[in-house]
Amino acid sequence: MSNTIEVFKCLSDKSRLNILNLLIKKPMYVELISKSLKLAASTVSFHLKKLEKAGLVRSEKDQYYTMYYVNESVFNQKLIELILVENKDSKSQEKRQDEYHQKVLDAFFENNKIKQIPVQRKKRIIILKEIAKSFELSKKYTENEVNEIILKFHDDYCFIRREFIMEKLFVRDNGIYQKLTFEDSKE
Amino acid sequence: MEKIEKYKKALVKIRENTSLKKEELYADSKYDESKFEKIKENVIDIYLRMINVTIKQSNQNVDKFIELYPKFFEKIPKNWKTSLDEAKKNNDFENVFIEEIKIETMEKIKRVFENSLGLNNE
Repeated sequence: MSNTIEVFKCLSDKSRLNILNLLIKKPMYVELISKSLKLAASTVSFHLKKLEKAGLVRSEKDQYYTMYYVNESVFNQKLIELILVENKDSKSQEKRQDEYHQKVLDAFFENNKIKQIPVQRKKRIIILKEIAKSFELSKKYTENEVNEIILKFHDDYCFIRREFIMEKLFVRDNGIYQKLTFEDSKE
Repeated sequence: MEKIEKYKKALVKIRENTSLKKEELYADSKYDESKFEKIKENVIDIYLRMINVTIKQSNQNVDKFIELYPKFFEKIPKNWKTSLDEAKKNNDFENVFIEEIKIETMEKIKRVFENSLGLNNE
């Protein structure tokens, strides 16, 4: 099933629940459902298409009619299994994000040095976070110490140091710098 | 003017019934069907507004009203028909259904107009 949210949205309508209740008992075609529920055939068709799109029913063309069946494999799933599908989605999203990060790092780093500072903010933050990995979390750094570490990556240490503060990756207090955790640095 | 008033009253009545049905369906958790009634209500609203617009344009002349008002049955649904074709092309059944509701409601209003104004030749 491709979209758990679509399934739940689809189920949150009484007419569609009524249709499913009929189909659980036996497969039916539009006109029969229409008669049983006193609903216009076009409305029944609309609901069936929505249910089919969400993977809750399937259809098969008979000689004259299109028969609709409940998709038992979905209904036999436990609620927790439906929710886990969402987790799979977020995992694949995480994977895509990791791949994008790596692509940016590959494009802008060469022999552990930054070839060029990205103009696009999203990419620049990825680069800044990569440099920030060379700093310890609880340690306090003087400006010179910060500059020396940045110099290993790029000559324009002033710009990167400023960006660290602007992007809230570091805090500065009386010329002393301290790295923030990822959660702290979130705006 | 009496016939125009008759048409207006008939439309107001249909709008009231549609609105009532919309609320009942919503209360019964039949959200999509309630949404469809809302779409019908909006279409009726458009044609109700056009009555006053046309009365002004026709200087309260019934013959002029009968000449001008039916043009809205061509002009207003033009975009709906374009959207319907587009939705059919994209297999977008939800929008096909919505655009069909608008067009069907317009057809129903047109029949009410023709009956109220005595334009029905049948």
